[in-house]
Amino acid sequence: MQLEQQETFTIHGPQLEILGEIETKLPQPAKKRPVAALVLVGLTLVSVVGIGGARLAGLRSSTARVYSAQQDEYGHSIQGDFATGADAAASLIRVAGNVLGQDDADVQTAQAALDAWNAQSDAGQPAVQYELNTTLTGAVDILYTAAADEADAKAKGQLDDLYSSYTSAQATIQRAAADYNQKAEAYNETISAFPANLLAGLWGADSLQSFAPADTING
Amino acid sequence: MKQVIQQLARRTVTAAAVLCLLAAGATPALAAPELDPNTAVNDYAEILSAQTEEYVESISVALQDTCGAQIGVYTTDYIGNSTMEGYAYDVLNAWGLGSADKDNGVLLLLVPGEDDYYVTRGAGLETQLTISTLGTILDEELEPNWVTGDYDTGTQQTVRAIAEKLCSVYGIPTSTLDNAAQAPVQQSSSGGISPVAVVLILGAVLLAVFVIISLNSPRGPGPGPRPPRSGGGGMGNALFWYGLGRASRPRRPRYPPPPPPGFGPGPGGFGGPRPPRGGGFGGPRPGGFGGGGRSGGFRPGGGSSRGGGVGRRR
Repeated sequence: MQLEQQETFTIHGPQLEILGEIETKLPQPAKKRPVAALVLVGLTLVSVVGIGGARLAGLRSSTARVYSAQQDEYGHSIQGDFATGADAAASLIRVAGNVLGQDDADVQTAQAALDAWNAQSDAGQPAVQYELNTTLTGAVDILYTAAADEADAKAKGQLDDLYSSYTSAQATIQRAAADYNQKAEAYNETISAFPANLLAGLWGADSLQSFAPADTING
Repeated sequence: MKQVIQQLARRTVTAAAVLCLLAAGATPALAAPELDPNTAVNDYAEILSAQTEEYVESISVALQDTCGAQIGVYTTDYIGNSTMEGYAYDVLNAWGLGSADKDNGVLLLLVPGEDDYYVTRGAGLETQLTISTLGTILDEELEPNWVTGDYDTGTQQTVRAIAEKLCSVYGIPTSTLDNAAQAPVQQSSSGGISPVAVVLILGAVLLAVFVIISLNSPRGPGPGPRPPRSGGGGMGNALFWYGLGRASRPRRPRYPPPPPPGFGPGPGGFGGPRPPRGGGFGGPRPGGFGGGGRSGGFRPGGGSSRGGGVGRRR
């Protein structure tokens, strides 16, 4: 009676045949249910850590890129504005040097600030750029005021043009950098919470600097 | 149970109709602009004559019709706790000068109370209208007239010079400006009810009519055979089922809109008197309205600026 009632199972589909074949080749311990469950848990953890970590790393990269490389539809970028400002500063220093003399203290100070900017400015370190930019801006302001008082009409016009170019570039930099700072702070908040803080450590997605004084930097 | 649900649906629809009516009534007050975006000149300092305003408008409309560029003139006595650059940035972006796809607006900000002025341009003109170019225009056209208090002449000459630069940028003959300056200025349909308010009011009226009809519709069997019910007879039941269906779908998280520019900490500081809230803030971009045929008058194109510009040189 039992033999008559015994059902025969037919495997349908090539996929099941392959899986069945693989299973037959596994060692005996691996065929047990607890082992399969363990493998499943391990795969899950790898997926979570892998996918989650990759996403965090991607978020860090895209956020950092806003400051270091992102351009709008017209090719404008924060770093491009820095370059425009530095060009204007350099020309202003030269014109001011012609007016006040190259040995003038304000000229020397501004030149030193510009040299420091050119030597150390790194798009990957917004905090460093902030300090250098602040120093340069202060020096340019002082130099412009001093030179404009002494300049003749032609030189005054040149100084005005260059100073306007510099301050205009600074205005767009400040605005764009404020936008970046918001994104960087949001990212830093994300990676400071559990479990993102663990994943961030595993994937090297560390905190981002803000374009701000060093003592206000997160992380 | 079914009757209760139907009653609830009717009350919900009624409440929505009331809210729409209230919102429509409140819309004009909420959207009351401190800037009229549908004109090329906002003379809050009252230093410009009607002739100058017409002149600027005609020039701007000519540019608008040919290349989408726009020149706006905004005057105010004081800018309060803001910088000239920050205030100009806020005004241009609130106004939406220039076309949205080219960001080619130019704003001339005149602040006689503070003896200062500033010009800024859209993001799409930064390379073509350099700071040096704009500074030269201000020095040659505006400053000599500014010191004598002849704001009309200074404004007209400055706008003309900027317009000529824009003509050279876009390859437009300057005769276009001459023809526009001589033609009578078409009155734009500004000052009427905003299109948003019209749509809301119409929607509220239709909703109210529907509610009244559905409340008065016969409940019992009518004189003739009733049509078969297929999941609900009439719009009232359809609305109810639609609402249920919406409620059963998982909600997507709704993110708040980004804050409008210039109204938070930034290089411009906090303006006060506040820079204008025009059609470009907190609502649909002005370029979406009346944008089809631009020859009918000045219409802001929805352009924007990154900031920067040049002001009066001391």
